[in-house]
Order: sequence, then C-alpha cells, then structure tokens
Amino acid sequence: MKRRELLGLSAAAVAALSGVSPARAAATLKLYHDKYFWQDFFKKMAAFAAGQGHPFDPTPYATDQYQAFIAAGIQAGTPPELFTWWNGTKLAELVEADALAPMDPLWQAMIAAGEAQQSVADLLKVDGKIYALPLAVNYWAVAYNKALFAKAGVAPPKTWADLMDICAKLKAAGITPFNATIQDGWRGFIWFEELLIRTDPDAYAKLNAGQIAYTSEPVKKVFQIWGDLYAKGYFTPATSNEEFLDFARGKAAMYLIGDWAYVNLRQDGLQPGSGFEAFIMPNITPGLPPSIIVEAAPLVISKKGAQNPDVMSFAKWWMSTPAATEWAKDASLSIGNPKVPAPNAVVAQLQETVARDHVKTITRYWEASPSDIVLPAVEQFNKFMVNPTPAVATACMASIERTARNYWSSKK
Amino acid sequence: MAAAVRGTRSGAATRRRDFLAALAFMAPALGFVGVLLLYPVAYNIYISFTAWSRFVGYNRLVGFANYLHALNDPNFSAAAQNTVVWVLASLVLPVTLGLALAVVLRGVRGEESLKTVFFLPRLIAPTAIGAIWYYVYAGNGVINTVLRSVGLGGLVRSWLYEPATITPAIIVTYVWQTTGLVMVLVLIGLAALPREPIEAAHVEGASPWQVYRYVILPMLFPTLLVVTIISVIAGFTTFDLVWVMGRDYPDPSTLTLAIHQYWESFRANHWAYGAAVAVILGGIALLITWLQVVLQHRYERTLQ
Repeated sequence: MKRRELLGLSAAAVAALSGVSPARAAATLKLYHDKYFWQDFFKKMAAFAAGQGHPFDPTPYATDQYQAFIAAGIQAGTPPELFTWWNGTKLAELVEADALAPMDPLWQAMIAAGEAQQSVADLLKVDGKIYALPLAVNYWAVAYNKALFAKAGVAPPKTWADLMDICAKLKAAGITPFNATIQDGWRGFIWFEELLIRTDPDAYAKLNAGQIAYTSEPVKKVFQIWGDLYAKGYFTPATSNEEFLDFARGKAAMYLIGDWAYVNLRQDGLQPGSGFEAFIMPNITPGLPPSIIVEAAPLVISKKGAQNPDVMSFAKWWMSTPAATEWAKDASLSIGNPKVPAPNAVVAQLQETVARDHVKTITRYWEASPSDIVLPAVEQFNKFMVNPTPAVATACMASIERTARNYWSSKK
Repeated sequence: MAAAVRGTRSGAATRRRDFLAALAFMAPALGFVGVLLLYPVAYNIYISFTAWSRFVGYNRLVGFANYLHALNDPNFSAAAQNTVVWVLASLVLPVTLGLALAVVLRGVRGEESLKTVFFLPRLIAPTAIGAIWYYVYAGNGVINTVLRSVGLGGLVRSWLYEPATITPAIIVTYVWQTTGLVMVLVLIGLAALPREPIEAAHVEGASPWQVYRYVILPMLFPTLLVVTIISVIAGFTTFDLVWVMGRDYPDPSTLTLAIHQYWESFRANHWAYGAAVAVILGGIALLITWLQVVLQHRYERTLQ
C-alpha cells in the first residue's frame, strides 16, 4: 500500500474516531519544494496534516532543477498548485508572470483572528498585495557559543565597540571570533549585507534598487571594515565546507546565520539555549535604529491552485495555530503566528527583542536584489572571503558594478 | 527488353516492400531517437536563436545575439580556455600513462591483480570521487598533512581555492580515475595483435624498443585512435569532477564549457544563452567525431 493511501486511510480513521464525518474527503495535494534538507520535517508534517483532514504529499527537488521545473510549468501555463519560492525580487518575478493568486482575504482573516502578523505579511507583498503563505520566517542574528564566551570572560555586546572588544579578548584567549565560509557557493553576501545595514541602511536600499554603484563610498567602507576584521584574524578559513559542524564544535565563538540553522547546530550537538544564544549585530554607525535581516520563505499558490477549494482550505489550515505549532515542533521553524510558542529558546528570545525594541526588519540581500546581479555578486564576495586583500576588494567592487550597470541599463 | 523492364519494376517493388518492412522494424527505435534525441536537439538549436524572458518563454527571435554574447562573455572565453587545457591534459596524460602501464604490466607476475587495482577508481562514480578528493586537498587533508610531516610546510596551500592550482589538482584526480580504463583498453588491443610480425622482428634482431616502436605501436593504432577520441570527448564535456570539487570556488579558473552551460541555463536561468553554449559545445563534439572518421578512413587506406 502506498504511503499516500495509508495517510488517506489514517485521516479517515481519525475522522471516524473523532466522530467528525467530513462532507467530502480532501484530495491529497502535491506540495513541491526545494528544501530537500527539510524533507523529513515535511513528511512528519504530512502525517500530521493527513490526520487533520488536509493530506499533502511533499515532493522535493534540488534547487537548480526546481527552478527550471517551476519556470517550465509557468511558461507552459501549467504550474503546480502549491509550491515553495523566495520572497522579494524572486516573488515579484512570479507575480509579473501572472502566475500567482493574491492571498489578502486569507491574511486579513488570520490577522483578525490573532493567528498572523502584519509584519510577516509585509515581507510577502508585491505591489501592495500579499502573494504567499509563510513557510518560515527567519531572523539573521549572531549566534554565540556560551562556553567559549565564558572561557574568554565576555558577555554579548551592546555596541560595535563592545563587539570589537569581545573579538580582541576572544582572540587573546586563542578563540577565533567569527565562523564564516563560502560553503555551497551562496554564502558570500551574508557579511557584506550585514556590514552595509550596520553602517548605512539607506545605501543598502539604494544599492538594491540600482540607485548607487557598487564602487560608491558606502560599499568601499564595507569592504574596508570586512578586510580589517579578516586582517585581525577574526574569521575562520572561508574554505571549510562543514560550517555548521565547525561552529557546533567550537571552532569559532560567533556565527552570523539565519535561525533555520539552529536545527542543524542542535543535530551537531550544540543546543539552543544551553549551548548557544544569539544577539542582534550592533550598528556600526551610531544613532541608527535597531534592525535585523529577516528571511521569509514563502509557500505560494498558483492561480489554478486558488480555484481548488482543497488548496485554499489547506492554506487556511497551514497558517492555523495547530499546524504552525506542529511545524515549529519538528522543524524548529516559526511562521510568525503569535499564538504559537517559539520553536526554541533562542528564537523566542529574538522574537521578544524584536517586538520589545521595535526592531526594524530588513529583507535579505538574496531576495532584495535582482537575481541577475546577486549570483555574480555572491561569487565576487566569495572570492574576497578566500583572499581578503584590498586589491581583491577593488576588483570585486568593479566587477559587480559592471554586472549591475549592465542589468540596470537593460531595464531602462 | 520487356522482360528486363518488368524485372526492374518488380525489383523496385521488392526493394520498396523491403524498405517498408525495414522501416516498420526500425520504427520503434526511430521513434525513440526522434522524440528523445532529435527533437530536443532541434528545439535546443531553435531556442538558442531566441530571447528568453523568465516565466514567459521564448517570445522573440534574435538571430545570433546569444552567440555574439558568448564571444563577448569573459566567462565563456575563460571556460573555452580551460576546456582546451582539459582536452590537452586528458589527451596526453591518461593515454600516455595508460599505454605505459599496459606495456609495463603486460605479462608480469600479478598482472591481473595490478590491473584490477589500477582499474578500481573507474568503478566509482565521478561525483563520489570528487567528494573524496575534496578532502585529499582540504586544509587538513592528506596532501597538506604529508607535506607538513616531511618538513615541506612551505608548500602547504588551499589546493582547490587558488586559481593556479585548482585545475591541475582536479586534473590529477581525473587522471587517477581514467588511466585504468585506457590501460585496460590498450591491454585488450595488445592481446588482439597477431604474434607473427612481433616474433619475426625479434628473429630479425630488433631491440625491444624497436619492436615496440616500429611493430607494436603501428599495429595498435586503431585502439589508440579510439582511446584518444574517447579521451578528447571526455575532456570536452568535463563536468562532474569540476562541479563537485570546484563548485564553492568562485573563480573563472573552475569553468569549463559544460559547467558554463549548466550554470547559465539552470543556475542563472539564462536558458536561451545556455542553449547557445550547448550548441557550440555540441558542434565541437561533432567536429571531433568527424575528424575521427576522417583519420580512420585515411588509416584504412594506408593499410590497403
């Protein structure tokens, strides 16, 4: 018997036992995604969903093939009904292609019921309309190893000067301050984006909109600070390809990464709360409002999918408290439903800080900038991380600027 | 005369009937080749002449724009240069080494076990080999550890993260994997050679080198030609090892034409441009095959 049939049967069994007899059993939906590393969580979620009368079958793809698969489906006018995507410019591309259905009424109902937040909806908007459900909302904070901080006798920083002081003390104690690699080829933008929003958030917005150059002063300053940190020996070698494991094993004291990585750290033996906590990177330029990079992974519904009542009832269920609670439990991922407890102690702390201090959320570079620029730019950032010299920095800025200029001039 | 005409006519009819029967037998195969090979190739050529906009499709013909873009793309020229390096390396190294190994191993004691040992890497998938060798070259990998332990710490480097060393490093891995196959092919070729000319040469007093140079090598030519063609095409289409071992390193020195094509099509979503690169790559591969046919014909003519 196929798993899907089994799930359907168990759904029916649960419905029978609970005395609820659904007027019509929902068909098993296909949910396509490229988060193959979450497939086990998706499967557990699917088993739970079947029991709740919303059976779905998660189908993973590798990212490259996935993008081709979705693009081909949209071109042919037969996109899947339900699939994961990226927010920002990539979501806008799907909207421009007229592929997606807006979800505004659903969100309004969920927000009114206290099961969703406007701030999360804002991350999934294109031209004022909300085009996705949240699959995960992740904060990008600095995780720190509590044992190593204790060993060096330091506490989380309040200011950039504090942070530099911590780095010096860690280094003196023989501990590398920051864990950062170019593993899997996409990570190069992480420190670039962070240092830019910490020095000049306006420049970050303008850069992503093509209004300033990659050779402008704010960008130069970022490379200079970044290069200084490298020169002081504050980073682990960029060439490791075991980034999570390196941090879990204490090769560095701090790690700037999305909170989705906490589940990996836990698997590698460093527990959220007892082993590590996280703080929001302090601003470098004094007087800037507090802010944090946030990454929203969207689950989108195609226009065709929006006409299927099963898909729409799944969407409502996915955002509901029982579903979000289950998702937070196994995958340790939050979708921003205020009624659901945070997936782990560290995320709980971050959520609290963001709410208490009115921390401004900023969209990640990967989604905030056009992908035609992001991909070549990340290669250049990676190149700098492998060889962080001023000469390489200059070459990188010039190269990205060429790419950006080509892109923006083709858009005029 | 009339009989002859009738004969021709019935001959033509028979031929046509035979042809139709043959066609019927071949139809399934032709169908597969047409649907799964010829149509996609033709479609690929077509889209290489279009401007493709994401999620909308191939909406407009642009002539040779994608091909001109390839000529002006620094990554394409870097990829083309690296591909030439790969072709030369995979032509010279595995063939020379494989030939040498075959000649040395032939008839020695333990030939069978040694053959197995040298052929073993060929049995592992290239991606798995890439992953293994990634760690051989890693910061604390085998090579650097050995260098440090013998006091050559000055030579320690990030082999897969420097433009000067990454391609040679991957080529070493490639040679390690492919030499065994060449060796086995050459051994098969050697076993099939007639004994008489070699024995005659010995009787005439030729030295082992002379026998090898003037008798064995010319007779081995067809085998070597096949081996060479296989190696050249493998060099041209190098993908898996470079993808696995060089994926994280963002330098054009890790590009080959096949990598460039995959990257542009599937990572950057520039499908039309990727298609143009694929057409160029395919064209070159066809050219090589054509050269093979020409060489083989010429060789057969000299034999006659």
